[in-house]
Amino acid sequence: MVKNNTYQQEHLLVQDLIQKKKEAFDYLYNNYSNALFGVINRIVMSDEIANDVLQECFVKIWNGIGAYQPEKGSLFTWMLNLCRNRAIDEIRSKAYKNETQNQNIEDYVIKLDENNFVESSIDHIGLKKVVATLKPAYKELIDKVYFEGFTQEETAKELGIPLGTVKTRLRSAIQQLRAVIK
Amino acid sequence: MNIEEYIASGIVETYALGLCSPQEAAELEKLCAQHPSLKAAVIDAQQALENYAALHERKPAASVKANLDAMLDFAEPPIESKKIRLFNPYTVAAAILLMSSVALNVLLYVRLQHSNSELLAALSRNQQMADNLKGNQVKLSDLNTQLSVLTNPEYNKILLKGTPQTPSSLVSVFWNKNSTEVFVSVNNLPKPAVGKQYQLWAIVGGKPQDAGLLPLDEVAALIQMKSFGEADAFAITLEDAGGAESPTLSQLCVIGNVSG
Repeated sequence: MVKNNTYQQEHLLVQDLIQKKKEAFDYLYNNYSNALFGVINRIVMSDEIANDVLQECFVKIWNGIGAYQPEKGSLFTWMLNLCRNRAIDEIRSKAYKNETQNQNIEDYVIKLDENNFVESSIDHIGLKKVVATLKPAYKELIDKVYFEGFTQEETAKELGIPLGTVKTRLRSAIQQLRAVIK
Repeated sequence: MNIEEYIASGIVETYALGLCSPQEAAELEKLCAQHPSLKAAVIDAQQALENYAALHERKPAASVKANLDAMLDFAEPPIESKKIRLFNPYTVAAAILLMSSVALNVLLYVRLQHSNSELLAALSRNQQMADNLKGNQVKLSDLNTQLSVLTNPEYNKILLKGTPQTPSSLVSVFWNKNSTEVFVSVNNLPKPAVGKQYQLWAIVGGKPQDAGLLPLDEVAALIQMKSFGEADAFAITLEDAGGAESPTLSQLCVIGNVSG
């Protein structure tokens, strides 16, 4: 993620978050809320639920920042995993199933693309090109695991392919995504 | 363990996707600390997924930020700003005024207490002096009376002298024949025994008549007694307290004839 000039180094941001500084929270929200909301939205497929889940996740991030361990990965990765896990819990909850049982997921994906006007700090065009070059089977794999919370075993069973193939294809897909960063 | 083979096994991607078992994750994190190449591979995979996630960016509702601003517990503004506020001119002025006022109040209170006690002392002294003055006025009035007796030529002074039993006793009687007033001045008489009292007698035509009792505790120099127009002599006897109808001659203390 490209950051504004307020926090050049992530550990300074974390330090101010631990000290509960308002400006650190504002910076965190301004820089990460779009990405986190996008992921939650992609998982729960509902703006309303996604807003609620995002709000809940920011409370968890704010209160749990002391548990973040920088040696295990970036702050963004920590927040992404927190939001992803919370959103996946949501779609597995009974309330979610009742609320969305009549919604057609295909329709929603189309609506999502139309609404996607957010200005991004990421090289979306380059990344989109890479994603476009991914074999549909690889993209489906990543989405199943990353956005729908399937385990590799569940994915293998669902798609009717061997577990070893799932692992190989996931690795290959991520390596292709990595290539665009370098 | 060959670290390159370990990286190539796909464990890094599995870890980045959050699909490792806790044991696998703990092992990988431990190895990351020893092998920079493994750590770099993990960061690369995480960044790849960060970017893939960010590809789905969308703007959340504005209410989310507003709700969070209202519900999160932000730190108080830095203490420095409070210090600055503490030393603004109005605060300083108010503090000085308050302290001055308190000091002035204390001073005035102490002075008031002091004045009150002084006033009480003065009132007490005043009362004492008034009492003294009253006493002095009574004494002065007595002395004036006595002086007028002593300086009045109409008064006849009769010395009552002691008997052989009481040779040192001496009493003076001042008698004004015209006004009939009689005064006694005790020059020397023994203190009467308890239950006893001196009584003055006027001898008129050879018969003693009661002229009054000498007060037991009188300190005045001149004591006014009963009045007589006629008398041949005056005498004092020691009687039971309260006096007697007629003198007990055996207890005669002093006696003196009216001269001329």
